[in-house]
Amino acid sequence: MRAEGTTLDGRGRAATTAGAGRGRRSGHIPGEAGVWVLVLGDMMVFGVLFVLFSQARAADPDVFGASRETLSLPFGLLNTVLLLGSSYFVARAVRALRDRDLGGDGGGGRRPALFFLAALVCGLGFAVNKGLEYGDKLAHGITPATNDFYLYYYVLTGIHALHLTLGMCVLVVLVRYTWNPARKPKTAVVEGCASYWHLVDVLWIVLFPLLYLV
Amino acid sequence: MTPGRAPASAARAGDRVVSLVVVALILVTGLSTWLAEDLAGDGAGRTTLIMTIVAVKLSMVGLFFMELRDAPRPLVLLFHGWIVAVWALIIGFHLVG
Repeated sequence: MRAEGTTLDGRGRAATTAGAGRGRRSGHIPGEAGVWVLVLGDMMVFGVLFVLFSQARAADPDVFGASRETLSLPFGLLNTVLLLGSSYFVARAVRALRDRDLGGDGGGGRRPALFFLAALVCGLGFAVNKGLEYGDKLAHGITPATNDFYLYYYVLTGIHALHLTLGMCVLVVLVRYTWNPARKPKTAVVEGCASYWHLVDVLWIVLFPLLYLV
Repeated sequence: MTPGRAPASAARAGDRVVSLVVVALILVTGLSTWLAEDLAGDGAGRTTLIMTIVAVKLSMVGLFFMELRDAPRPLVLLFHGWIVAVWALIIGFHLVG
C-alpha cells in the first residue's frame, strides 16, 4: 500500500526510509506539505470570518442574541455529532489501511473503504440536516436579508457546506481508491485527503458554538 | 513472536485511543451545550468556558485525528496558534460587546 521510499514505524505510521529514525525525530507530516498549506490557509480565512462575525455581534449584541435564540439547537448539536463521527471513521480508515499494510487483516480487506463509506454517510446526514434547517428558516421568511446575524449565518454555514460537499466528493474517491484490497494506495494521498475532511470538522467545531451557543 | 505482531498490537491500542477520543469529544460537546443552555445570563464567564472547551476539542481533533502528535513542531505550533488566536479573539470581542 505504501509508496516507495516510505516505511512504517512500530505504531503504524509512515516514516521516510532516508535516514533511519529521522522521520520520528523530525516528525511526519500527514499527507503532503501542500495539503497543509491549503488546510492552514483555509483556517486563516475562516479565522478572519469568525473575527468579522464577533465584531458585528459586539456592535449589535441585542439583535445577535435574539436571532441566536431562533436557531434550532438540536439541528446544530446533531450536525456536530455527525461530523465528529465522520472524522472518527476517517481516522479509523487511515489506521486500518496501515494495519493492512503491516500484514494484519485490518478486520477484513475492505475495512478501510467501509470506514470511509461510514464517514460519507455521516457527511450526507449533515448535508440533509443542514438542508432541513435552511428549509425551516426560509419557510419562516428568514433570509440573509433579515438582519446581520442571519447574513453571517448563511454566509458562514454556506461556505462550510461548500467545503463539506467537496469533502464528500473526496470521500467518494477514497472509497473507490481503497475498495480493492489488492490495490496499493499511496499513503500521502490518503492522509492528505483525510486531513482535508478533518478540516471540515475543525471549522464546524468553532461554527457550532459561535452561532448556536455564545 | 512473529514479525508484524507487535506493530499490529500497537495499532489496535491506537484504535482504542482514537475510539476513546471520539467518545470524549461527543461527551464534551454535550457538556458545552448543557452549559450554554443552563448557565444563567450571557456573561463573559460562560463564553470563556464554552470557548475553552472548543479549544480543547480542536486540539484533540488535531492531535489524534489529524495525527499532529507526530508532526513536525512548526506544524503543531501553527495549528495550535490558530486555536489560541481564535479563542482569544472571540472571547475578546465578546467582552467588548
